[in-house]
Amino acid sequence: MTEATQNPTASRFQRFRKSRFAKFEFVAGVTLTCVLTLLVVFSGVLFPGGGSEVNLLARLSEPFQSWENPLGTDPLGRDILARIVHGGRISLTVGLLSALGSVVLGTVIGLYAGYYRGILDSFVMRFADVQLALPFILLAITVIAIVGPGIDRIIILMIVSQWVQYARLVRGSVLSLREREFVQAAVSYGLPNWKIIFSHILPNAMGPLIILLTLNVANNILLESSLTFLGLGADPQTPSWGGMLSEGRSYIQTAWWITVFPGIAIMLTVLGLNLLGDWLRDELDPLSKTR
Amino acid sequence: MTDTTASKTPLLCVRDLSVTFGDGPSAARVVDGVSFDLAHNRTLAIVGESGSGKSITSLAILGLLKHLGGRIAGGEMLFQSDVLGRRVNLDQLTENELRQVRGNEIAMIFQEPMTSLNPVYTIGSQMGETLALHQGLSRSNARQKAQEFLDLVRLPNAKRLLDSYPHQLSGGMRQRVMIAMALCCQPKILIADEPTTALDVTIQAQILHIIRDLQAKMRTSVIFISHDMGVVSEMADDVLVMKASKPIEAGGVKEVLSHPKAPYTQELLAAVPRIGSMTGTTMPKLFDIPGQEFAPETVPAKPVDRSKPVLEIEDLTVRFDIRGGLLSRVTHRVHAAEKVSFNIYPGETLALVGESGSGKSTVGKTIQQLQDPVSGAMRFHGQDIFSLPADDRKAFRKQTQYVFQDPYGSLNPRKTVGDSLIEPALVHGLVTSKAEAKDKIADLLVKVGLPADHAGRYPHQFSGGQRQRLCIARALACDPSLIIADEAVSALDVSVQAQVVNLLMQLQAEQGLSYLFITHDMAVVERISHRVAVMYLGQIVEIGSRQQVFENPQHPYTKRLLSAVPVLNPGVRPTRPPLEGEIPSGMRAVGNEPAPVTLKAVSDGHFVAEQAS
Repeated sequence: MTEATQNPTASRFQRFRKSRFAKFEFVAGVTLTCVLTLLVVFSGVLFPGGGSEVNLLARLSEPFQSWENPLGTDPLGRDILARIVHGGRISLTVGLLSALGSVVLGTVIGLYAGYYRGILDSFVMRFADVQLALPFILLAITVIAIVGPGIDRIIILMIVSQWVQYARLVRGSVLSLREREFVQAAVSYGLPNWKIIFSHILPNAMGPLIILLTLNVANNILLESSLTFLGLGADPQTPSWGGMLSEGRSYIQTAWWITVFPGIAIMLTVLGLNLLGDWLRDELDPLSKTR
Repeated sequence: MTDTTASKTPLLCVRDLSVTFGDGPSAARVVDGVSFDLAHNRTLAIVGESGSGKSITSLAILGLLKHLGGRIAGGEMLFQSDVLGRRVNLDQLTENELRQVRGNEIAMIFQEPMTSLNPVYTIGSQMGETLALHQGLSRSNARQKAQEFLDLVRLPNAKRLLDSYPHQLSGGMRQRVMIAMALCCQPKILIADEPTTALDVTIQAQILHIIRDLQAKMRTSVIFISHDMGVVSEMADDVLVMKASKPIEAGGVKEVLSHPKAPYTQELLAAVPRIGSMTGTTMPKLFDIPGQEFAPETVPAKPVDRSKPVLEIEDLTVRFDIRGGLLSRVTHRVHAAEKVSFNIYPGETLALVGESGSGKSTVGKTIQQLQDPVSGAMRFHGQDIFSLPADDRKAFRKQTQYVFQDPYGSLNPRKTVGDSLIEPALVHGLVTSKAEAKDKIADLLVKVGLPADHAGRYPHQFSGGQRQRLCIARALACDPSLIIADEAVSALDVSVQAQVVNLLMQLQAEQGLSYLFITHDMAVVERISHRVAVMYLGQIVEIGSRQQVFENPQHPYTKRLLSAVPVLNPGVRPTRPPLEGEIPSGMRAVGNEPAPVTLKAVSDGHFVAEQAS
């Protein structure tokens, strides 16, 4: 009775591929994300000065020269490492909160619009089209000009402008999933709509959602830096990765370390999140698990 | 015409062919030691169930395995090539040489006519491409030749077709275009991989006739891959039976199909429903599967009590609006079901048969309330359902359950099967505690013949037949009185199909279930049903007991449907005249309503649509 199921060729090939990468993805993703989070959370303990102690005597010192400033200093003599660790607070907060906010808002709207269709769907989607046509920077400048700069506002602005991509993605998945036979079957035995949406449709739409989420966190960290660069974001005194990138811009010829190290910090964060996202997506999918 | 030496040495000689996927210790051997000879102007049928390696064998011949990640692990395929001017081993050819052989000397027709033509090119340019490539014809010459071949496959108005796009053609027409494309370079070998599986029976009969006809004309050798024993018996000269990547039995078609030696072949043939095998009987009958645990006689065939129907359908009409124009007004309507009426009695199976577009699924979905009717009434145990408020109506979903066609699609891939099975019972409050749910799941699994400890597994860990059993188990969770089976066994392999049909009949005998069995497969209908309703373009044209409809069909469409079913009678080529024409569409302009048919009684319980004079 327990005959071998499914196509043996495909599954064996997948298993072979999966077994090697899944472990790596998990270990690397978790390590990177944990180390960065711990550094950021304990930044106050590690560098009590907050990375804003000015030491003009040690300005623009090169990296890997002293234990005091292992990654060098900036034009005001502030320690790059301390600033990276402290800057992570703002960058990670903005990146994570804005992406999580948009994913929740966008998913709820996308699920609703895709499942019920009708007037609300067309209204929401036309609104989404308009939203996508608005340049974000322009919107940000206008809004910040009216309400004044601040991290919380930046996060809200990002959520307002980015839920659209999630809503569209989810709506697309829902449109195809609601025609699938297991959803039809659920309708046919009388499952209430909200249960169909949350227990049959949402879990099957998660894969692309997680991938978009991890990419979005990365993007928003960079976006925050451009806003800071324009003076719309955090107070210039508080370190942030984006702010450091823009400060180092004019010294890039002579003092590369000012820009390169925060850049690497962003890269590692994004990489860690992506690996974690890939692993999570596979973990949620029973198809990819071995028997 | 052919010289004698050429016809003595086979055209294609496959020896000990083995194909593997993957490498290292995890490599899977998908074809294992297959050998056959293909002579000039002969048809070799490779039969087997899904996963037997029959398609992979054909792809190996064409050298298409690399694209799928497979490779030939051993054996040789000797082919007498004219283009290369020598006898070659197809495995040893360079990609460049293979390209010259492919399409030119060995051509292939695929199963899915809907996806094997490129939607952005016209028929003419797709056919011209092949001709220009292999025969070096100029544009206008290629076009003319393409038209000739479209005529050959009896496509009407070939000239206009050359400028049509694939979406403008029906499935049957597309498959004919595929055949024309495959044959236009006059290949020596035509490989047809399940060429008619996706088509309706009457269209299948047309396509098979065309392939036979052209083979006789062009003296092509054909490798015909199929799971359908009826089709094989009509088409093949030689048969190779495969199972689980190994060859089981080979020989002439008469020999293998009439006197199978291998137990597997015998089993396979026993599972094939043969139309006409039930002549003279009135009750459904279980398949006699060798080695099954119970004798068919143990299931008592109870006579159906016709005093109180479970379900009465009266003048059910369902239409779909097609909007067009600037103001998106309703310009056309698809008349999916038009004044359909029938009753189903307790413990009875009513088969609703018809070809694609006949509206049979729409009727089923409307009964399950997945679709709203335009008009009509539905009474369930005497209670009018459509007139009830929406909330009360939903409660009736408990009473009728739906089993879908695709066993792969109808279970949520992210839920364990236990969770899926118990969901309907939870919704309707039939189980309240965890322990109760666990018992119920185990009970349901055992009922459909699966081990109770499989509840924690995911759908992908089951085979197609097992998944269909799971769907049936889920349908049983609410103790319904009616199960609507929408092509529920059509996607299954014959041996599995026979088991599932038997399961349905046993459950009927045990629990007094009624079935609305929606299908296109007349041979299965003959086995399972008490009564049969034939649908054509949204209307029932004939309804009666199974014996009345099968042994004394009155309506021309019923006759046409019955005669198109391939018959398992090896060595005998069908003599029926090819049926021409397409199945018309049920789409009509607004205001142009179809004339309602009136059903006239022929005998007791046998009604036939009156013919328009």
